[in-house]
This record gives sequence, structure tokens and C-alpha cells, in this order.
Amino acid sequence: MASVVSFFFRVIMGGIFLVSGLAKISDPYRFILTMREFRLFPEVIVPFTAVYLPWLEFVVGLFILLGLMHRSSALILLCLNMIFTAAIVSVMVRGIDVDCGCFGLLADMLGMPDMADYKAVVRNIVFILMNVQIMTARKSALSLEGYLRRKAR
Amino acid sequence: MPLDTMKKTIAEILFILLLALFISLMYNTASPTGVKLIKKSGQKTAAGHPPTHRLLGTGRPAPLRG
Repeated sequence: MASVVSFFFRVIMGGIFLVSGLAKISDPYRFILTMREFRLFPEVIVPFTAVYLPWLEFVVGLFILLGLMHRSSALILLCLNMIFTAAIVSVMVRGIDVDCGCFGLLADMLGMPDMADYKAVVRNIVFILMNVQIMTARKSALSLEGYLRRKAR
Repeated sequence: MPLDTMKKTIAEILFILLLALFISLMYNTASPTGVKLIKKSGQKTAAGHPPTHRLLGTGRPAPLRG
């Protein structure tokens, strides 16, 4: 049962981060502007982070979806979600009204509200819990890693 | 957590982080809309536009090299 739940969570997390990574990769300048609005990071590292972070999301999303190194990928996603949550909470505490930037261009295309508010925090906490389940499940159904391990025996 | 599992997890995390770093830098270098990561002093870094080289004081474009 846990392995099936883990599989569903993998599909959800992998799909979301794959798509959000792609949306940010397609428009890095928008992501730079969003990061500047957060007023959290030094200007020197903003362009580098805007180039690196979307690709990290994309690679981790792909790995988690395929079930390849999915526990380590879930751990990275867990850390990323914690950082995102801390950034959003910091913006809320300081009273800055900014776009969350979580889904980049996609939010505009689908007309989804993408603000850095309590809804984004709740969503991130749900993501963190999903990642914990993926990390702690002993087995995960339909994973490429499990298939390769069975094939090697 | 056993030591072997911990080592394996750390190795996997490093692999994923470095893979993402490699792909992001390669893509950014190859992409026409790539972000300028290093700003040289005195160089205008308008988004996506290469700096225009002009001969000092003349206003004429510098000759192409190579």
C-alpha cells in the first residue's frame, strides 16, 4: 500500500516540479525580477540562482517521476520546499506584496493566482509531507531503480 | 541510518546537484537569451544583448577580429 501511495506522490511531485522548472527555464529574466522582489539574496548570486534553480527543479522532478534515485531527489525537493516556504514567510512578515514566482510563465498562461501568501505556504507544507512519505517508504511502485535492480539479479 | 546508505545518499545528491549545474551552464551558454552571469566592470549588460564594441572616440564599430 505504501509503495502505491509513494508512486502517486512521486507522479504529483515530479509532474509539478518538472513543469514549474520548464516554465522558469523558458523565461529566466522574469525569475530574476521575482527573486529581486523578495529582497533576500545578494545581487551577485541572483542571476546564477535564476539559471541554476529551474534546472535543478527540472532534473529532480524528472528523476522523481522516473523513480531514479527518488529518495535523494525527494530529500533535495524537501530542502528546496523548506527554503521556498521560509522565503515566502519572510516576505509575508515584512509585509511585501509580491508574486510567488513558483510557476513562472505557467501561472499567467493558466490564469492561476501565484501570490506569496498563506496558500503558498500551505501548499509547500503539503509538498514537504509528500516528500517525507517518498523518502521513508521502503518501496515505491513502478520505479526505474527497482526495475534495474530486479534485472541485475 | 547505516553508514553505507548515508554514503550512497550523499553521492546521489552530489551527482544530481552537479548534473543540474552542468546542464544549466551549458544551456545558458548556448541559449541566445542566456543570462549574463559575470558582469565586467564598465560593461553594459542589457538583457540578452551583446555589448556593442566601438572604436574609442570615433563612434565607429570596431573591426571584426578573427
